[in-house]
Amino acid sequence: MLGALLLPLTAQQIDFNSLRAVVRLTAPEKIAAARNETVTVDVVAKLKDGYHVNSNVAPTYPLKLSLLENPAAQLLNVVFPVPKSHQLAGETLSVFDGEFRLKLTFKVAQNAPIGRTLLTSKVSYQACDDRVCLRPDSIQLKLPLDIRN
Amino acid sequence: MFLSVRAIAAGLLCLGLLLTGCQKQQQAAPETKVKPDSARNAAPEFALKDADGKTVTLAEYKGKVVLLNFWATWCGPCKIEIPWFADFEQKYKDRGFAVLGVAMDEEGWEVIKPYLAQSKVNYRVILGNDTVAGLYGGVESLPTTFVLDRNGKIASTHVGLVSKSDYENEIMQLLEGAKSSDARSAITASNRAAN
Repeated sequence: MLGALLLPLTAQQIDFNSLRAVVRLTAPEKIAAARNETVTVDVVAKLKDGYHVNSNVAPTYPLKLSLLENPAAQLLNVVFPVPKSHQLAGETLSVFDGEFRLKLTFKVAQNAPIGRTLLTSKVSYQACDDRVCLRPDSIQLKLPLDIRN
Repeated sequence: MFLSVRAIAAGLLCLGLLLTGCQKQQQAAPETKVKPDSARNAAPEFALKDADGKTVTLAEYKGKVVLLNFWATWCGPCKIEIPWFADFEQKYKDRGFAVLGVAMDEEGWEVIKPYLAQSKVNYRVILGNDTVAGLYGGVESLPTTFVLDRNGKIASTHVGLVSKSDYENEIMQLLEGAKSSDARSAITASNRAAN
């Protein structure tokens, strides 16, 4: 998990054989934008087969996507896909499974430094399959942003 | 020659039926993961608070078969097991059995208490933490359940949902095993007295 946190790539090297590694994130290899521009980026999440994560509207440990604080860009909005319903233990859960896209919109700061900046997105989630639940966790993904004038 | 081919075919058929029968018997046998006594390690001791703020230690349960279940209110598979455990508590508590739930909710009793009331949990629940989880191998996933023998040793470990009958078989095995071991001790003691 620590390796994934430190990886300066746009796709995580996740070993799905590891028990806790159930979510893999990918994003464009390079994002180019001008100062003051609003940018929307697709972050693709792929879950290990059989697993689901709570959706963004689930009452406990909902899926969250954020940008770690960086003066070069400010998060404006995240659009999540339509959740699915999943029945377990007599309850209807609101979940995402398989592969899904999160649309992350941010604005490049007017005074952002020209050149390459690494934004860091953070996804917080809680994953289960029908046998087991993993404790709430988060993973980070670097987004290389090339800022022009 | 013809007869011998028929005899061989009949023999193979009988063997096949025999093997299938054996296989079916193996499938029907209850699954149990109870380790032999010599392979069991002592369950790590802890002191955790129950819903009334009372400290609970594992040492209090010595002499009982204990089902130690790490769970959380956000864990769906855990909620499937909880009614089974309540059933075991009711059925076997008089035979020296107890369920001890270790809730791993970070929000604490604020979320645990309403759930316990709603789901009519009849066994003791204590609030877990990462330190205690660490003692039990990290407990990265829930449910994680340890079945302890009367000597406080871990007889079996289950990560994830398993069937009610698997648990019940293990509990019975440990309760009855202890009983027959007690009986053996009693016999040995009476033999010594006779000599």
